[in-house]
This record gives sequence, C-alpha cells and structure tokens, in this order.
Amino acid sequence: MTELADCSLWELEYLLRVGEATSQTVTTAVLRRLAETEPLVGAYAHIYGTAMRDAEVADERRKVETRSSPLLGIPIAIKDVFHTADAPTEAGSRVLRGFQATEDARAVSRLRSAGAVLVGKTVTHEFAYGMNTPRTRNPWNLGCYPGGSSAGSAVSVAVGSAVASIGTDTAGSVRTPAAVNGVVGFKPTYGRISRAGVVPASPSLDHVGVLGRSVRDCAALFEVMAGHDPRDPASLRIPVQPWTSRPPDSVVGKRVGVDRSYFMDWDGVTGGVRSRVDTALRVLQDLGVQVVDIHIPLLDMASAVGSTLMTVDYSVWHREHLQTKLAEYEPGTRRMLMLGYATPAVAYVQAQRVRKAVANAVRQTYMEHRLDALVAPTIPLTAPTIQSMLESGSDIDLSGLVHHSFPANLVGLPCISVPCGLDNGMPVGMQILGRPLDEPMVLTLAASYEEATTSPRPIEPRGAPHG
Amino acid sequence: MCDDLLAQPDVTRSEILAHLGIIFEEGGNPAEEDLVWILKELPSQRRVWKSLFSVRAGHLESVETFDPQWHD
Repeated sequence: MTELADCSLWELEYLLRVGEATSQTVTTAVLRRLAETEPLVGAYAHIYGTAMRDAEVADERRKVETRSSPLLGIPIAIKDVFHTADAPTEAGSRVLRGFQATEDARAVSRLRSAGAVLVGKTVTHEFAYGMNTPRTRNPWNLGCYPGGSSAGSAVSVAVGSAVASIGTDTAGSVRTPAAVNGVVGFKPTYGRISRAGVVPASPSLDHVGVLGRSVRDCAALFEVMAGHDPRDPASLRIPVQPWTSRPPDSVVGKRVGVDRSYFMDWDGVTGGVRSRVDTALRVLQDLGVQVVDIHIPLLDMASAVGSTLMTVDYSVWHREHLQTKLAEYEPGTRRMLMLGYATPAVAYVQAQRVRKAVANAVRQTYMEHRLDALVAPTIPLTAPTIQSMLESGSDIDLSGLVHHSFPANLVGLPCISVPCGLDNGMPVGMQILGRPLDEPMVLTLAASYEEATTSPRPIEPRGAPHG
Repeated sequence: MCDDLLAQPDVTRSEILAHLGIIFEEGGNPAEEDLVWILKELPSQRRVWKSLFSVRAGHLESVETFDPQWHD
C-alpha cells in the first residue's frame, strides 16, 4: 500500500471523503516525512507549527460540509515569496529578514478558504532571481541542482513533505524545478491567478504556478486559486473553465507543433533529453495526436527579449533596498540588479517591441498550422551538478536553463511540465504550451500522456546530506 | 584580470557610475568588485541588446497590453 505521504492529492481526497483517512493522519504522515527528509534536502525556509491544528479544523469542517473542496485537509507548501499574515516572508534574502506581511497573498487566502493545511514556506533563490545557490538539494542526487527558483516547492512535493505546492514562474521558475525533480509544474495563462501579495520580479512576465504529483493535482490547485482579483492589475476577468469535474476529453485528432530548430536541435539540448521527448511525442501519436513540425519566426529572440526585460524590471522594484541594504544582497543578485540600471532605455523599449513581434509570430504559427499546443523539452538538460555550475563562473549562468522556458512567459501561454522519463537516472521534463486561456487543452494533453506512461516515484533522497 | 578590466577607457567606467547614480544619489558607491563584474559583463550584454535591433522594423508594433483572446 502506498504510504500516505506518497499519495497524490486526488488519492488522498478519496481516502478523506470515504473516511479511510483523516486530515490529521495525512498531516502526521507528511510531517513525519518532512522530519526525515529535511536534513537532506532543505526544502523549507519556515515550517508552520499550526499544521496539526489546521488539520483538526479541516476534519471538523468535513463532518458538516456536504460538498468539500478537493483541497480540504490537504498539506500544501508555499514558496516564500507569497505574503502570509502568520509567518515571515523573506524571499530567500537577508534584505527581507523578519518581514511580516499584514495579510495573506490572494493565492494563499484562496488556499486557506478551501481548507488546505499549510505545511510551511519553501526555499527560493534570492528574490526568485536564481543568481545564488540556496541550500535546497535535488532528492534524485543531492549533489545536483534542484531547479529554481521554486526549488523548495518542487523538492517538497518530490519527497512527500508536501502533497502539492505553489510557486512563481517569471522565466520557468515553476517548470524548471518540476522537470529536474520529476514532478508536474503548471503555469496558467498570464493573469489567471492573482499576484497580489507576491514579492514581484518582472510584472509583465510574473505568473503564479502550481506543482504536484499529477496533472490533475495541479489542476485542483489551479481551479481553487484562479479568478479575477482587482488587486492585481493584470488579473483576467474571463471565467475559468472547470476541468477536474468534467469527463476526460479525447486527444484524438489534436494537433501539436514541434519547433525542432529552437527546442530540439539547439546546441544546449542533450541527446538524452531529445531522445526522451521524441519518445514522448511517439506516445502522443499513439494516442491519436497529430505531431506537426513547425518553425516559429523570431522565436530565437526570446532569450534576448526576456533577459533584457527581466533585468530592468527587477531593478526598478529593488531601488530602495539597494540604497539602504546593498550589502545584504547575495553578490550575484546585487550585481544583476545593478546591471539593470546600466541597461539603455532604447534597448528596453526595443525588447518590448520585439516581444510583441515574437508573440504575433507565435500566434500566427498556431493559426497557420491549426495547432492546439506546442511540445518541447522543459529545459535542455537534466539537473547539472551544483559543483559544475559553480565552476562555470563566479556566478550562476542561467541563460541555457531559461532558453526553453522564456517563450511561454513572453507570450503569456499556459504551459505544463510533465515528467517524461529518466536520463542517466535523472528526471527529464516535457512542456506543453497551449493557446492563451486554453488551460483545458494543456491539461488534457498532459493527463493523457501521463495516463499512458509511468513516471518513477516516490523519490528517496540519495547522496550525502548537504552541509 | 581585474587590472585589465579597470584599464578600460574611463568613459565606460564613468558611464556605469552615472547609471548607478540613480541608486547612490544619497551617497555611497558600488563596491569595487561589483563594478569590475559589471564592466566584465557589459560586452556580452551589449551583444544581446544589439541583437534586438537586428529584427526588421516591419515586424514591430507599438507596445500594447496583453490580449489573451485570439481570434481565428
């Protein structure tokens, strides 16, 4: 029998609904797993002392509710960039040490309203920038990169110290850690989930995303958190189509495009990753999906556009902190923030204009080829060793890691990363990029692939404890 | 390495300091190692910025807000 800490959200929802488990037994199992794994993987920045009390409240609530949210009584982890009224929000930085928000981020308040049990706040790279080396380790190999910046959110799900988690994705920060830790990561359409109360990075690229052990687990969190919020100026007023409550759609005849020149044959893509994604494409074909080779003009500008916009956007928000707490930043973060001030305004404006051109090219390609989605590796490689990343320079070079993930942020597309096998014992991720607002198509394709394959789980941390 | 970088034309160094003046207007200066890092990084950044201008003007439109609704 699967241990409670290794069950998916929906497996637990069933056990809770039919009375074969309580939130208290589930939470106890998750906290026990946390105690076992945390010394090895370091996923949490802050652990709530209130989880068992919240579980007790959830169990009482279930007794009186006729129809409960699937999240009722489920232990969830939160990236430490979401404001919480009952715990500090430090965004992985000494700059915000001890910062206590007065109210929850909208995404968090929606989780609480649904009855989720908050386990803790997870480790992030400093300000979700990805320029430093946090203490979180990859459970598949403790010497390897855990992804970023939602590193702790992915690792907690992978090891079972949370059933699901939430993160943020500005340039792949949900999908990348999902891919390298062998879990599912989902970033919906830009504006679907409110960013009110989230420490900002680059407002036109920032998305709230979710991580879970299955596509359907991610969909459950998405459906609870999505919806209009006037506190986020980019929040969409367009209703979310329910997906988890409706019968599965067929994928027969759906059309997915593959831009081989950008996503598969790019220099940084390893043979192992290319091979696993090609195999996954054959699985989709066997399910009746039509795979179409396409080429998106201007897509090769995505990294230049994204990095230029992101560098400047970050710097704007940090100005006051740079003036007053400069020495508190990690060197890599501080330098990138300063570099933002050295970016010419004409380059920033040109990046905005090229971004629009890239978005138009993507849209035209979808329409010309009647595509329902694009498919690509989530990142071009499996998790590198931390040592190799540090040796490559005095600061972490992220350009190769964000090459594949930037397009979905630039264009605002819904995008999911699903595990698609192992290469040399390390997880590979495949991302599926849908049309804006078409989360149901992305989820349907991903769930169909998931159902047709098996992904290895659970994960036991391997290697030496981190120092 | 640092000596080489610091030997770059003063205009580059002055230029960076001028930009960083937005941060340091109330006083203070960037650490020398940060300035050296930025000077080292600038050539590759300039290549990135320059590449943005390789896109033909015919492809470009003015900046608009995100429109998620596509019309086939």
